[in-house]
Amino acid sequence: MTEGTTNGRYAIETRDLHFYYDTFLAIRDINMRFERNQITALIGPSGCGKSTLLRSLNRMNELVPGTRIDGEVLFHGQNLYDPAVDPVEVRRRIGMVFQRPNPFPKSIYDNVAYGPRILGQRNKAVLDEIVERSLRQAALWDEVKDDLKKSGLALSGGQQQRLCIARALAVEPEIILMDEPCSALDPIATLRIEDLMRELKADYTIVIVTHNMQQAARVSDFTAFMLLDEHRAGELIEYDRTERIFNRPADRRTEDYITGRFG
Amino acid sequence: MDRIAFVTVVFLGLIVSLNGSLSAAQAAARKGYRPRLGALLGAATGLPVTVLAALVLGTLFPGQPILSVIGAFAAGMAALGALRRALPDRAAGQDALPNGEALQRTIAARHLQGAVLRSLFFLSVVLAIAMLAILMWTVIDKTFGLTAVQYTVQPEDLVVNGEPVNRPLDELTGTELQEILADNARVARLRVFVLEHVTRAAEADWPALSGEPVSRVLKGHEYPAELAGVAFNALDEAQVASLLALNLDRDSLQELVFDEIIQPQVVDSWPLWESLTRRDAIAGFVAAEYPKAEVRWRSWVSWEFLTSPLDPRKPDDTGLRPALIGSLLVIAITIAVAFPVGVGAAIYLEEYAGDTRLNQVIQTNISNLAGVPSIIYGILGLAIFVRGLEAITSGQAFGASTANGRTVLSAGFTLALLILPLIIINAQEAIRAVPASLRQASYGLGATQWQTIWHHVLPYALPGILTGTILAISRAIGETAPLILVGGATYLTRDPEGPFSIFTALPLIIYRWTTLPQDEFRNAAAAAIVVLLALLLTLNSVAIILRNRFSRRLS
Repeated sequence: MTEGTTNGRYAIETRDLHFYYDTFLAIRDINMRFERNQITALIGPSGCGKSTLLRSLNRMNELVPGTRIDGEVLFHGQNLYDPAVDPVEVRRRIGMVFQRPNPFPKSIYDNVAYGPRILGQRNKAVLDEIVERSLRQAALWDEVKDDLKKSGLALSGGQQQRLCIARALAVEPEIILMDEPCSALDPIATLRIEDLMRELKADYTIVIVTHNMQQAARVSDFTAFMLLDEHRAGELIEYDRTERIFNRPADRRTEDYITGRFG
Repeated sequence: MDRIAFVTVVFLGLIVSLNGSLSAAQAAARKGYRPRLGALLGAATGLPVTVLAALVLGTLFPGQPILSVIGAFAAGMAALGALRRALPDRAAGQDALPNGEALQRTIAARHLQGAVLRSLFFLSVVLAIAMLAILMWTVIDKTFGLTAVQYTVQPEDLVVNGEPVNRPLDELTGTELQEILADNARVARLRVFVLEHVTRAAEADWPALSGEPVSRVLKGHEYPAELAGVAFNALDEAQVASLLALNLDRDSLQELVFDEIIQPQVVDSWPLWESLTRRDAIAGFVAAEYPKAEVRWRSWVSWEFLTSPLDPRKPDDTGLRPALIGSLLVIAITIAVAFPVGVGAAIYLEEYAGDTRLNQVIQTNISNLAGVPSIIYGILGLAIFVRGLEAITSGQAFGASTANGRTVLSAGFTLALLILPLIIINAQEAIRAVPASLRQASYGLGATQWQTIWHHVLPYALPGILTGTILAISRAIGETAPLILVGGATYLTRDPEGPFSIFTALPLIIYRWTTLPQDEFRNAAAAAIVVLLALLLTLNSVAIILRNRFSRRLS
C-alpha cells in the first residue's frame, strides 16, 4: 500500500460502508473518518454493529464465511477491499486486541516474537530488541522481564491483555483496533489498560469498542454512537468529539442512551 | 413354551419390574404414600404379571413364542399403568406444587430413582470389568502351566559304535557327536539336516537337489574331495554326518543332536489353574500315562517363542517371529500412509473446504465409511492393491521379484484405508475444538492461513489427533478379515523382509493356530494373543507419552 491521497489528519476512513452476513444487513451506510493519533470510541447497545464495524476496518470479518461488504475502507487512500489488497498485509498494518485476552499457549517471549517471526524476522538479537520494546510499550516489561520463558497463560487476566497488546505492537501497526478490551478484566486492570491506551496514542491511532460509557468518556477523544434502525441494521447516529457527545449531544437518541434512559 | 422364550420373558419381566419400581415410587409419592411402598408394589407387580401373561398366552397360542413374549411384555407394562392409576389418591385437594410432608415424599421418590439407576450403572461397570478380567484370565490360564515333556530318544539310549554313551552331551567331542548322528538318525533325516542347517536351501528345491552330485548341492561349503562326484541321495549315514561335522562347529552339532535326535516333546499340557490346584493328580497321571515323561512348568510366551520361526507341526517348538515382524511392518506402513493422509484430509475439510453440497456429501460419506465392516475393506484392498496396482505392490515396478501383489505393502495400504475415516473424523473433531480466539489472534497479527494452521491449529489439536490415531491403530493391529482377503499367509518359512515381501501377521497366526488339531497349539495361540496385546499396549503407551508431552507444552 503506497502513501495515498488521504491527508495526514485521518488514519482510516469508511465510505458508504454496508456489511452483510449472507443477506442480512448488519451495518448500514457508515461514513466515518478516524483521526490519526487519537482514540475513537464506538458505543451503542448490544448488537448494534460496533464490533462488526471495528472488524471491517482490518478485514477480520472475512473469517466468518458468507460475509459481504459494500462501500470502501480507505487507508492511505487505498481501498482495503480492493481485490488487489491482501488481507494478510491489512492485518499487519492494522492490529487487533480482542475482548478476552487470548495469548498463544507459548512463552511470553514467543507470544511477542510471533508476529515478527511470521514476517520472516529470524535474527535473535533483532527479535530480543523487538520483544523488549513491545513489552515496555505495553507496560509489561518490568513485571515479566525475568520470566520471559514462562507461559503467557500463566499471567493474570490484566497482564495477559497487556501481553496481547504487546504482541500486536510487535509488528509495528499504524492502527490498533480494540474490541471491548477490558470487559473481562477487573477495575484495576481496566485502569491500567486505559492508562496504557493514553500513552500509546502518541504513536498509534486507536479505535475501541466499549460497553462502558465511563470508559469511553475517560479515555477517548472522539465518540461514535450507533443504534439499530427499524430493519435491525446498525447505523451511525452521531459522531463527534467525546466531550460534545457526553455534554451536548446533537441527537435525542444519543442523549437518551448516555443518560441511561435505555440500552 | 420353550426355554429360550421363557428366559426372554423372565428377563423382560425384570425390566418391567425395574421400570415399575421407579415409576410407581413417583406415583405413590404424588398420591400421598411412602415412595418405598410404591417401589415395592411396582416391582412385585412387574415380574409376576409378565410371567403369568406369558404362561397364559403360551397355552392359548401354542407354537407362537414371539407372540407370547411381546404380549407378556405389553401385559406387564399395562398392569403397571393400571397400578399407578388404581392407587387411591390420598393427597387430593392439595396445592398444585407439593409442600411440607408431600414435598419430602416427592424428594425421597426422586432420590430413590437416582439411587436405583446409579446402582444399575455401577453394575454395568462391574460387569464390563468382570468380562475383561475373564478374558485376561482365559488367555493367561492357557499361556502358563504344567507340561509333560518326553524325549523321543532318551539320552542314555544313545549309542556310538554299538556302545551306550553314558556321559552328558556337554562333555562329548565333535567327533563323538558326529558318530551319534551317524548311528542314531536315518540317512534321509541326516540329508534334511544338511539342506536345512548347512546349505539353507528353500524347502521347495529339496526334491530337485537330492539327485544332484555333492559338489553342486554343497557348492560354497566344505566337502571331502572324494565325495564331490557322488549323488547327494546316494551318500550313507557316516558320509552325511561327516558333511555336517565339516560345516558345523561343535556347539551346533550338540544342538542338532539335542533338538533332532533326543528331541524333547511336550506330550501333554495343563492350564495354569489346574496346574496350581491339581499338581499331584497331574504328576500321578503323567507317571501312569507317560512313564518316561517329566512334568515341567512352561511359559508358552518366551524369548524363544518370539524369535523362532513358525513350525506348523510342533506346537511346543514353534515361534512367531515372521508374524511379529509382519505385523510391525504392516502397521508401520499403515501409520505412514493413514496418519499424514488422514490429518491432511481433516485439515482440508475443516480449514479450507467451503460449506458446499459436495463437501457435505463427502463429509457424510466419510462418517459412513467408518462403520463399513472390515471385510469389505479387504475386498477393496484385494481389488485395488493386490490386483489393480499389482505392478507397484509386488514391487515389480521397482525391480523386486515378488510374484504377485499379496505383499506387506498391500496389507498396509488396505489397513490404512480401513482406519482413514477414523483418523479423519477424530482429527476433524480435534481441529474443530481449537478455540476461535486462537485463530483470530494469529490472523490479527497478519499471519496467513497456512501459518495459522501450522503454528496454532495443529499444535493445539495434536493431542486430540494422536488420541484418535491411537484408537485407529489399535483397531488396525487386531484386524484379521482384511488380511485374509489380501492374501496374508498363515505359514511362512521366511521372515517378511520389506514392503514387497509376502507376509503373515499375529491375528492370522492366532486364527490359524486355533484351528489346528494339536491341543498345544491352543497354548501357542494364547501366547500369541499375549504378544499381540503387549504390542498393542506398547504402541499405545508410546502414543500416550507423545500426547502428554504435547499437552504439557501447551499449558
